[in-house]
Amino acid sequence: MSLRLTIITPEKVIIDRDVDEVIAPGWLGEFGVLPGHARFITLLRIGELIYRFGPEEKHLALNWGFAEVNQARMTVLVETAEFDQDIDYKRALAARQRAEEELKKITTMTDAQYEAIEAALKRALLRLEIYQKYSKRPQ
Amino acid sequence: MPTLAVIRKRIKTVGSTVKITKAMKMIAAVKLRKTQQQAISARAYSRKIEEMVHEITSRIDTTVHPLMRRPARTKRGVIILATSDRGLCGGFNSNVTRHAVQAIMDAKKDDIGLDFITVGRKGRDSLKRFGITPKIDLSGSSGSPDYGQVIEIANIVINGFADGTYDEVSFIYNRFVSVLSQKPTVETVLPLNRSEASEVKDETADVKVIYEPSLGEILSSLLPRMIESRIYHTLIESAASEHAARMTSMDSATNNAKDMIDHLTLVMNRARQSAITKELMDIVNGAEAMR
Repeated sequence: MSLRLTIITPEKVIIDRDVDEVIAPGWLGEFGVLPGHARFITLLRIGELIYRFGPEEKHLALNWGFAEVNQARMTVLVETAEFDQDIDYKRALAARQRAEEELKKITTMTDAQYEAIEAALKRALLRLEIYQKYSKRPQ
Repeated sequence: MPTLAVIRKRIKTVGSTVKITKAMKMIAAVKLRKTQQQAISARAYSRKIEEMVHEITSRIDTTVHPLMRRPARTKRGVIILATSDRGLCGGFNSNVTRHAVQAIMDAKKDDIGLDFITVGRKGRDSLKRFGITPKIDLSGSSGSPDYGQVIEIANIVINGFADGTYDEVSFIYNRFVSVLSQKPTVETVLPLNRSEASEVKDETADVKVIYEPSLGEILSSLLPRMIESRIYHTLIESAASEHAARMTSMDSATNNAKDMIDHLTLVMNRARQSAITKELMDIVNGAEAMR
């Protein structure tokens, strides 16, 4: 029995393949999915998605999204998903800096503004973390 | 009768026009293929998200969600007008603009406020003639819509609809029927269609599904995304129509120019022939007079 993982962004299908195990950043905490999982629909946080197939292990940085799981399939709809090797390190650094500056600069802001900046900061930090953790490329 | 030199010059001019129209046609064909590809790769996402919304709305009372509200009367609407940035694409822009003008008239008659969001320079310019400034104007990338643009539009219409600023959100765009035919279409985005959000609770639906955090929260997160996805899809379709319209109109322009070259060549040959005849007559007459 296998688990079919499909990750879809508005612009294209990122992956559509059989995997052994998926670990995803669920709304109420990280969760693992193996073949034969109960039906399950959840929102996803900004976080790291890992999937394994045999000895192979892949890591993706996910933006907002949600996942639907049933016995043999896991479908993930996300705004963006990037493999660790595809992350633009410099851009993420710049994004972190921008977000931090904005947080310092503004003293009063609405909740929505704060949330938007916080989300941008989270995305940047996540990308940096995943890149540093897995990328073996010289920087 | 125009002189030989004048006709030759005109043939040359028309010839270079042919070169331009032919090149434009070929570029449009390539862009059309690219846009169609884009439409196909976006389909998976939009299909899935529609499916999920449908499933979730069949399980809970949806009337509580602000995006599900159904205004009894429209007091203020917003129209997203999708046109192109450049001309030379046949009736592409004038067709949708005509619908927009109609909408303006209707709104005036029924005393409804109307705002516009324009995508593409041509739509903005033709609204300006009516003294209307669009609320936001996204010009410069009508040929290849990107998702950032979509989010910008979606935020305005979703927030506007949810807080009651707008009671109706619609799209005026060219629907892509085929390469040869694009149909100007008026489509309502919000309020959502009754059939799309199933209001009858489906009792037979499998109840053993775990939802995190909750059905309601998933729905409020999903609905804006579904609307984004629809806007994206519509903009892609409009872009495909634009390229198709440009392709066909540049094709007929090329044909017309070729016909003109044929005609001018005929006229030129006739002029040359008569010039030769005239010269010959002069020589013969001259020789006759010498005798």
